[in-house]
Amino acid sequence: MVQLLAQFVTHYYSTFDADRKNLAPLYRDTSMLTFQSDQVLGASAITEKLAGLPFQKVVHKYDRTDAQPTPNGILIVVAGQLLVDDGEQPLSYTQTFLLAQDGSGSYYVQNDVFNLVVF
Amino acid sequence: MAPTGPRNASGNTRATPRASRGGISKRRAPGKTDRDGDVSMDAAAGSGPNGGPAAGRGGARGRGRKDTRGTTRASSRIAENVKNFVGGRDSVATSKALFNKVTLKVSGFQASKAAQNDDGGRRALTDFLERKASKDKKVTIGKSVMDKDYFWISVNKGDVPDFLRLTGFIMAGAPITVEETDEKMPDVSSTTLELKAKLTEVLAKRYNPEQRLLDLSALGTDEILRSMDVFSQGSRAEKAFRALLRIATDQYKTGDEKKEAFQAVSIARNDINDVGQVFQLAIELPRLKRLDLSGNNLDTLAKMSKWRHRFKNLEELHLTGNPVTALSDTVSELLKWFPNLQNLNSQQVRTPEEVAESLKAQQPTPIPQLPSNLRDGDNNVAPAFLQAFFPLFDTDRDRLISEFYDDDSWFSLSAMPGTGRALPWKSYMKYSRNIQQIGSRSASTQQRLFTGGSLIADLWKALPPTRHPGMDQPNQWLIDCHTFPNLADPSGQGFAMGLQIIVQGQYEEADLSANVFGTRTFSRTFILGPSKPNNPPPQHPYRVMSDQLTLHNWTPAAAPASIPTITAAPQQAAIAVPVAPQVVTTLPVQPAVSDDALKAQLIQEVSKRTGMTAEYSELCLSGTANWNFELALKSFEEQKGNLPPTAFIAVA
Repeated sequence: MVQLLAQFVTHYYSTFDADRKNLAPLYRDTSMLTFQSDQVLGASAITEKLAGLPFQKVVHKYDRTDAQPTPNGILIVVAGQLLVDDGEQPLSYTQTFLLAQDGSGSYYVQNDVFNLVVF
Repeated sequence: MAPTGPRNASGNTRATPRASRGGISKRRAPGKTDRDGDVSMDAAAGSGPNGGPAAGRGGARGRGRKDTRGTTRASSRIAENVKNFVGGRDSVATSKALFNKVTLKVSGFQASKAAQNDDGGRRALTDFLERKASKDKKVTIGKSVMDKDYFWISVNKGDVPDFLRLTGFIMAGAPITVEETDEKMPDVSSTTLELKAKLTEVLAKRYNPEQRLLDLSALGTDEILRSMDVFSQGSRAEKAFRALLRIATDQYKTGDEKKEAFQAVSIARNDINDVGQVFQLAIELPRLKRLDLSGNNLDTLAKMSKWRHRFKNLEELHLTGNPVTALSDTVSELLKWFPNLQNLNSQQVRTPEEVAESLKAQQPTPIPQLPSNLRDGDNNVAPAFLQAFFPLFDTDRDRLISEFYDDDSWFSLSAMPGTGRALPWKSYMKYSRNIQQIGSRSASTQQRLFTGGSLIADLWKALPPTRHPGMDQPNQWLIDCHTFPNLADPSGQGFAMGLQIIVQGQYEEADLSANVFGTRTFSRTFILGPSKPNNPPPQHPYRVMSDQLTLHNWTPAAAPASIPTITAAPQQAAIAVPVAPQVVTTLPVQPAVSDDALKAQLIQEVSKRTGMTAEYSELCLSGTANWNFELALKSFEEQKGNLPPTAFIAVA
């Protein structure tokens, strides 16, 4: 689980920071993205939502990741900071992924919840 | 005002940390050299005339070799002193013993090239005198004061002849005179006060309170300034300009007051050929709205580039009469530099609407945050769970376990110690997981995943007591909730609905081990699933399958108090997060606090705590502290020894 988690987190954020449209294969039609409480269903809508986020460049720095097994996958919680568009103020965020296994045994993002830390 | 040549033509760009501060200063002792040691070793090597080494070797005590050396040193030092005393020569030992200070005054240096330096040649002259006087021994100058006529120095009595013989020496092209005097070294504070009084007089005539205009134009023609002879050289003119600005702005404590008092400044017709010569203006009055630079000698944009990222509020700029206005790209560049600029050389170059747009373009688009949302399939599971959960977590964790957890429940926590926090992290770190750090620690990381209610209960006993805000304070919480369909039903009958709840908020904590109270920001993710059919009562239809707690640095955006209470105004991140219209508004998020207002508040608070000016407080906050109040205070504590006196609000 630990290995899978590390692989996933590294892959997710490096792809996100390079070109977030390439994240599409991680999601399925039943996947849900909740970005700052705005909810999107399905891989294509998620890709669209991600691509349309109001920043061009983004750099994620993830400080901590934690994971727990779930009956059908893994719950991953990442806490870190991100910088958008060469800004100078890093924003703290948490992102919670629920990875699930599909019929063929490969993992996909079933639920992805992103929130900036506002407190 | 400016020198006509390039600024460093006279080689005066050397950094002189002491230079800009007028007045008295104590010379630092030169780098410590083991003078005694050197002297004694040299004398010993020469097998001293006073029989030092011999005495050592033939000592009655007959010591070993090592001791012989020591004795050699000591006796030759004595020999040296005796020699100096007999010879009537000053020596380190005698001058230290006598410690008599004599005042000398040096003149003639005013004609030297060094006098054009920023410090009036003070440093160059000090170095020159010390070097030349140190012919066969190291000679240093104690206190020194420079006034219009003399450079007053205090030296050891024994060194006086070494200095007096320097009369007639040529220092940077000018012969100097050194004379002994019985006069007291002038009290520098009176000289400074006199200077300040004159500059204040100059300023009084040049400030227009109706227009909030500080008119520093054509300073070279000012009668008082001419009588002070401050504009004979460019570097002294720059210094005078800085002094004028400082005196003018000193009476205003905060950036807001300065902004109110000085909306316009004219530095027209001062022969400025690089804004670096008047750079201080951007430091003292960064929020200036109108600036007149006309009639100067700025010929390229490069000569203005030092102000490129300054004066963000500048609305009106006059450059008429500067060669740079003839260049084709000047206007377009300046519009980029100054996002608020509307009026250039009395021409409208941008409408207020365009200004608004250019400002908007400069700001990163905030990432919108929707309010909390409980999409739990309308069965009221999430609110019921949360309303039961947090009060119980604060008051009776054991009962909480028995209500909602079973043998298959997971709990883990992830914390990262922040810096400058009042609250210690120790209680959490023992149990904290961070799977980023796999490898050597993976075993302990695995152990920190707590499985089953009884283990979790034990862990929770070890965690500090908490107090979460009431669920009836919606602006203290940010909650996301989602259903997901394909959980295996524990009864083994197909799939059941699961619920994922993500809560963000803050709680008060009492760390009893350290006796500290404070606030923490947390995120907590729950996965709720259907209860097992054979669970003991009380029977809830659902149980906690996963409970993950992540702790963050608490970001007290606008809270000056060190111990905030949960009833205080809710905290907001440093960046404005506008709240979109609510979709499902069970728990709305408070409206965003404007970025600027927050920052102003923080600056004011830091200034109050540290005594620094608003500018430095802002620097302190905007640096690595990243608008974190506690971090800013910490970095101030670390840096305060290195800050210039100008960083602080002058105490009247």
